[in-house]
Amino acid sequence: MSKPIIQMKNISKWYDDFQVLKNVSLDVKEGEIVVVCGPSGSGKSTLIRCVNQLEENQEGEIFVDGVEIARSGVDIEKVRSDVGMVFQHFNLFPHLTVLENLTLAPITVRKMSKEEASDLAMSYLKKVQMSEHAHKHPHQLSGGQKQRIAIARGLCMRPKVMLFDEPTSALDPEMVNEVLDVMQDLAKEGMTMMVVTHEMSFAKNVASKVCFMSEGELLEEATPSDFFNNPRHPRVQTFLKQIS
Amino acid sequence: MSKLFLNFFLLAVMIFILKGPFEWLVLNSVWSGSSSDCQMHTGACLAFVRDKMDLILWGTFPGDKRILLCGYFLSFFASLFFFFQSRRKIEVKFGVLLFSFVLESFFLWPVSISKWNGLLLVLYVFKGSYLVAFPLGLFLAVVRRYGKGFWRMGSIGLIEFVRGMPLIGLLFMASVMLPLFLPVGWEIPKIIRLFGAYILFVSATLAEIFRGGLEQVGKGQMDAANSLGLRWPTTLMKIILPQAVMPMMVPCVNVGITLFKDTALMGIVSMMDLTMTSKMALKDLDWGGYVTESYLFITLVYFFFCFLLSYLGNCLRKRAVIH
Ligand SMILES: Nc1ncnc2c1ncn2[C@@H]1O[C@H](COP(=O)(O)OP(=O)(O)O)[C@@H](O)[C@H]1O
Ligand SMILES: [Mg+2]
Repeated sequence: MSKPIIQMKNISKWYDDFQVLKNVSLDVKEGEIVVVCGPSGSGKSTLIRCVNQLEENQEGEIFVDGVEIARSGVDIEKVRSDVGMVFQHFNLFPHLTVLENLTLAPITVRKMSKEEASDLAMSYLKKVQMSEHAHKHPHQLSGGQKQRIAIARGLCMRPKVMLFDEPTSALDPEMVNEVLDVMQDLAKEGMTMMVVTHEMSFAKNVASKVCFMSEGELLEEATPSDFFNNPRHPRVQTFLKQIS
Repeated sequence: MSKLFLNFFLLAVMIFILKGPFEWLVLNSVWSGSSSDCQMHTGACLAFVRDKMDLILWGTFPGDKRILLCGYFLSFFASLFFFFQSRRKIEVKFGVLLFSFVLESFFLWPVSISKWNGLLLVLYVFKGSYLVAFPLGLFLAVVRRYGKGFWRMGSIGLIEFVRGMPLIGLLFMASVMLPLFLPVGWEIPKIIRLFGAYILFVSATLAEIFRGGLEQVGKGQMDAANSLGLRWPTTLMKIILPQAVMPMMVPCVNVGITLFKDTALMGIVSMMDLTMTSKMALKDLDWGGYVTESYLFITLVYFFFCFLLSYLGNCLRKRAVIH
């Protein structure tokens, strides 16, 4: 029985009168790959952004590695530094080189020396096969390359868990696989991951658990084989029909 | 065919327009001699400018201390070129500029501040106010964008108040009204009060430019910085400001050029700027009132500096491209 890295208990969130998240509970255990899918606007991004408090939830409790985070007095930056995140639109720092993108946080947050951070960054660049691009600026790279850099940037902090919010949605189709391959390698190495994606092949082959969200509710939480072969909720059935 | 005709036509118009000034400035002008030589010719009396150039440029700055000016100008131009041409980080370049300003103040220290006249006054006020206004404007813009409550309201209030005033109004307030409101026994030197007016005005203008820059930084940048666990000062200094300030350098230089020209307004509150020193020169009874010649001269001085700034600013433009 491995320990839970992320525990969400009865999360609710409102934008004014509009309830985006309705009593959502979800656990991600060490080494697990949890895929979250669902129609656009169902609150997937909001949910995953609550994990490192880029969005605040008004109700419910979130624990990251046993620490309750949505509480005053918690050093939220410290928590965030242990939670990597990859965004749909990469969000690389355009004024910095690839290497500087990777070393900034290790140097300023982890207080590493410049050499130490560079060595670390180069090892992760090698892992995502981007070593030769270390001194380029982000605008010189393709979408797939940018996303691999973004993943490497998150890994440089040696996070306990990686969050992915639709990492392949903004990519041209031919670049989707290079990013999915990197994610798959990460999964094999035992990285704990929470992934919002529409890539059902990734969900089938890599996920330990697939969740389905609709209108702010977590409707289904199942193993991939159960999810794809005998989904219980009719909404999941229609969703699967639509995307296949 | 019609193009040829048009060219000839334009040439004729140009000759017609430029004939007078050309005759006045080149053909019939007097380059040396005295007032009586000038009166015998119909052209420009450049002898007057030659005779009074010292007075116009430096006013009452004592003649035996001129060597200090060499130090001043060496530092002024060296720091200016360093700022625009060096490829170092902007913090470093700014620091050098600030240091050079302190250095220049020390150079001029032996001479009483009321004798820093003419071009010297213009350059000193220009550089000093811009140097303070730049970080202040940045600060105001950041507070307006990211601050809360009292701070934010204060910043908005200050920016909008100053932007709603003409510069000349601020200068009058600083020179005439402010002393009336100060408690008895308090006295702030006039030059400092005028510095204050220029600094307020320029920082409010720059703040609005920086606000535009800050708004161009994508929301995702903040998300990325937060998700990495960067703290707010680091995020601001390393992520937000570089992206907000660098693309705004060219408009900032434009504000600098405007400020340079606006230093001429100091004459209205009776500071000895270039306009006032040339008026002093015109009072000399040995010479008639060669007003056109003397204004032409200070126009050239202003043109030289504004052109230089504009040229250097263009060099920046080529480099400030951020992706
Ligand atoms: N800042 C916001 N203010 C108001 N409504 C928002 C805001 N952000 C998201 N929403 C709404 O919340 C809902 C969920 O959004 P999101 O979490 O981005 O969905 P998903 O990622 O599943 O597409 C959407 O209906 C969206 O319009
Ligand atoms: Mg989304």
